[in-house]
Amino acid sequence: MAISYPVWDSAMFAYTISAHILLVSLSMGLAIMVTISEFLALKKKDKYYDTLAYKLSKALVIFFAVGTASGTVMAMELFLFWPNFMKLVGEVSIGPFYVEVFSFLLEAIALPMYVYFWKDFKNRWEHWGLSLAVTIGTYLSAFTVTEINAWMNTPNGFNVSAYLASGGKVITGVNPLAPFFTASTAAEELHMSGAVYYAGIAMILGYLIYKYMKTTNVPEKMIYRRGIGIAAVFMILDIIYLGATGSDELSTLLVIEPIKYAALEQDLFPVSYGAPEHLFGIIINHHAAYYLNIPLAQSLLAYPFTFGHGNIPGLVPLTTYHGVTDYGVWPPSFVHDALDLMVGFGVLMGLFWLYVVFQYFRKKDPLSQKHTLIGGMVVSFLGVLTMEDGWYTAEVARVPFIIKSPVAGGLVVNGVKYYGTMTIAQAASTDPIVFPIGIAIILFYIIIFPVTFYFAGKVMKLSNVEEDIKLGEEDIKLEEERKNRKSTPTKAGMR
Amino acid sequence: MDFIYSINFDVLFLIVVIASMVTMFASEMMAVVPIAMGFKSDKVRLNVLSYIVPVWEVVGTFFVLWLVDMENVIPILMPAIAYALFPLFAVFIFFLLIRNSLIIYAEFVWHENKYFDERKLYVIYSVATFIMGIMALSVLAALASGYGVHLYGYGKESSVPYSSSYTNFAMFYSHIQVIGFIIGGLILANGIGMVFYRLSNISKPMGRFLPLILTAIGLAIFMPSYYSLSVRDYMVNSDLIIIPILLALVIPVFYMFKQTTNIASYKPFIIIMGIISITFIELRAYPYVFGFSNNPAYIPDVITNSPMLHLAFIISVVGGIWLVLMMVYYAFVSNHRMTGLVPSGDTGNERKITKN
Repeated sequence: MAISYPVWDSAMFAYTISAHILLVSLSMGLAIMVTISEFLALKKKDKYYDTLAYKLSKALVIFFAVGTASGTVMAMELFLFWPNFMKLVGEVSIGPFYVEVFSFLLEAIALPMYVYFWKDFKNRWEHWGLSLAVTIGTYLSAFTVTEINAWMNTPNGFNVSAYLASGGKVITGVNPLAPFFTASTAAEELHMSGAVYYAGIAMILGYLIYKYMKTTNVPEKMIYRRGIGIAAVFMILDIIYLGATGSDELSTLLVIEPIKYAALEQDLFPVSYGAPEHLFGIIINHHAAYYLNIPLAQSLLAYPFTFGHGNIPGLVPLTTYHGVTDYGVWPPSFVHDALDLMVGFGVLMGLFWLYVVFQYFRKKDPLSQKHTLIGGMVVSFLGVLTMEDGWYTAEVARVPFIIKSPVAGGLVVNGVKYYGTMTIAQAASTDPIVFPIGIAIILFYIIIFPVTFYFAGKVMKLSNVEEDIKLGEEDIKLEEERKNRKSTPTKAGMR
Repeated sequence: MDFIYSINFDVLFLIVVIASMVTMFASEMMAVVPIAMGFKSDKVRLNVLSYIVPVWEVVGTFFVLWLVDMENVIPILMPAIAYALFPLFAVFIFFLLIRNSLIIYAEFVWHENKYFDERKLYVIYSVATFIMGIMALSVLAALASGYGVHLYGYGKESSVPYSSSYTNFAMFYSHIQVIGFIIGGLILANGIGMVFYRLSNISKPMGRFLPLILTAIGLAIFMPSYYSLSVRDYMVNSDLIIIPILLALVIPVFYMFKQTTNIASYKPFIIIMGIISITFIELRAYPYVFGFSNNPAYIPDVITNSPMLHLAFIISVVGGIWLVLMMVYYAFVSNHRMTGLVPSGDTGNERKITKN
């Protein structure tokens, strides 16, 4: 059976982006870890924090390099594999992408200065400022790309009815500022921010715990201990934040994207009270099967303040128009299982962190307990898995559309109901060269990923701890001297 | 010339973005031959690598800026370009991945590595960059000429779907002007590169004249080729081509004299000269791209709608100013760093040369 262009293009993009978000989240996690570490080094005058920042910055520059290449591939892939989609984006919602490029430039200019000119700054706070610029740049890049994603879920900024009526030819009523603030932007941004940082820092935590368990060198242990401390505090606060924003995201979907919500929750018919929660299960012949039923749970979670009284939408009526149900616009049913997995992993990780906090208040050092350390490594793996799973849940639940309808439940134009603005098939490239190029990209990622992770690990391993700590000492001393001199503002360079 | 005065700001910004991207990438292209042929030389390592190693990350970002700005300013044209020039872009991004990965491996590779050493990795990086350069020059030649390019989905061919667009690459590369554009560009880059990286010793006659000879040969091949491939009756800005020729010659000529060697090889000076030159080269073709294709694109007809242009204007101005400030800061910090790395008087100039 031959694979179609839309399926191939989608699979390629899913593959590339799931690889790319690993690099993005790791780079974002490393950037904020480096910023916090150097800040603590300067505030507490602690050489180990400074050394930690230095070591992590080496990994950051390696992942940033491969991430930049991967990001450029993504940009080119959008342009080459999705030409019709990008044409509409170009005419309506390119604004966030345009801001994203300048954020990317902020990272790309600040990071080389931070890493390669490390020893050239007399004023260590000025040097720290560069790490802050990298953190802001990485975050803004992710923020603006998510704005586009939100626009794909709830498009605005142009006359969608006129666009659909003309068969996708006429674009009128353009408001280029509107895509910055769509109906789903706030909820998506809030959840995305926490999720990518959580996954990125989870990867770093896993590495630090592994190194902490392996090394017998006391100064090295001191460095990793500080790193684990920063990562753990961040992740504990973040998991609480993720619970709150995840719930907010689902509540937002319930109102503005009911079809997506109903698919995610496996709701086939609407209910005004007492909707059960289905754990896992699949849809066979348009009926839910093989699920575990928890009565009332969904209604109670969706409407806690009215004790479960409130409308829960259903897929069947939402996709029925003039008595005909369009099953072709139902997202693949596994998105429900993907959501359950995501929530399940989140709960497991939350329980682990609760245990760690409990141990801390019992004055027990979590780092002296082997089972807690192993638990931390498991959580680090789960953190990454949950982010990937969450991404698939959110994106696949938009299938078969690349841009959904701006109106909850679909839009009627000239007597025809449209559940989306542009389908994947309408957006995809039909140039035969997408196949060989796609295969080349697949092979390249298969090679580059393990090599890059191995390489970064090896570089970190081979860096000389004594020399790194000496550099940390010098940095702290330099800042002390500068403070004591109370001289005129110091310029960069000529250390 | 009237077209130049009436040029839309966002189009002008795009032209400057393209000029900046080409100049920044050209500075990497200038390093290809020195790295591949003379990596063991201390001079190459100090003068070339100390510049390339941090700056390659910035160069990569300019590619994305260019792409997004193109989508921003001429979205109507982009699907046709995507279909028609897909193979060139695809090869370009494939080697971009190799370039980025290998240069970062080369920076941090450990000494006892059995399979790869720093030199091998840098050489592969330079080969990848070289292939990217050929692809980039091919894309620019295709945009300027349109030889072998068939574009649909806009203008007089708007009734035919975009996906019908294609390029006959055999026809494209069979034009001597295209080959001249690519080869001339590469020779020109090497001529200017000897000055940019101060690889030529002006105390020796060969070293003194070689950058000028290479630049002159490069110009002699590149400019007539470009003039020819972008020539159509409706292209009216031909006089502008004299400006890049003069600016390109100024650099190696200044380099020959001890009094002006310093300024000629000052990197920000060459970068600015490069951006100005390429801007005028582009303006020579304006307001058309793909002039010899089945469907030449008249830029004022394919630019985006006016509300989007307003937003693009604001982002371009704010982002552009901010970008320039960041680059100035980068140049300032980098300058101090290079001062400590590059020894003075390495061009054979008796005067102290301490700033790059």
